[in-house]
Amino acid sequence: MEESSDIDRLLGDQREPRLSRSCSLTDLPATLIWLDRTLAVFPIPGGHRSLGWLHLLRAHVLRQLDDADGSMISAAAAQTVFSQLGEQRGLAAVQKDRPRVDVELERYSLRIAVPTMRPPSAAGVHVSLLGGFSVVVNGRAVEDRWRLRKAKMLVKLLALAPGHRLHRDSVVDRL
Amino acid sequence: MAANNLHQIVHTIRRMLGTESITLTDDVVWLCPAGGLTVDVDVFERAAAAARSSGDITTLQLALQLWTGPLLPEDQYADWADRASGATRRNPCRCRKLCSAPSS
Repeated sequence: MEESSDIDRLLGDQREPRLSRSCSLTDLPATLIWLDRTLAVFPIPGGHRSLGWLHLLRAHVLRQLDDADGSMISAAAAQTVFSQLGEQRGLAAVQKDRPRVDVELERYSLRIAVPTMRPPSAAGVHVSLLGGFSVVVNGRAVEDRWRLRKAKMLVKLLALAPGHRLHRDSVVDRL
Repeated sequence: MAANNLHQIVHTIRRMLGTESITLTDDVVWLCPAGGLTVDVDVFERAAAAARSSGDITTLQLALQLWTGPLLPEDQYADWADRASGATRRNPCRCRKLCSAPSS
């Protein structure tokens, strides 16, 4: 994509006002000032400011992490900043770029959502073990009415097991 | 535990979580073999590992936001829970220590 190569080139430019390593993306005012300043110096072709913000956030976080798992962190950071942008700058302006932003999120595999940020309708099985046991299936919390105590125990055991699987002998030994 | 007991347990889980939530095939018990499973511990562990390798304060803070409490507090004395939980219990302490250290 022409715009992304432009952005990548700009990010390699030493003149780019980089967000300092100690600046937290959760410090929204500082992040917005940095984004605005950067985009004022390097305008995004086509004027897609949200897309520009996304590129800059991604590049900033991934540059620090240099790790595939960075996509998860940058997804969390990008989601936080985008939801705040919606409140501060008017949702309509951000929503205008939403389809393009979604394409970019997909492209950079940034769709690894953080459980607390998942919409309640998210498909799949979500097992929580931190702070207590709970299961959500396709957005619905499973009632804690396990007819067999060992069934609940087996779900916990498999959730903690590497690859979420165990040999039956190992299960029989532990239950 | 008898073999047919395990089948009964697997059946109970299918009824609670859905027919494709667990399989017992070729002597392997597998939770959500077709995918679609998210475990908060996995998400936290990945975030903590990435944050610790970078040493960056932002990513450490984001990783700590995923720590919503101790692992299975109701099972803390259970033998089976003990084996898997060591690293998970140590990780938030490590992240907090790194957060309070001056960033480079």
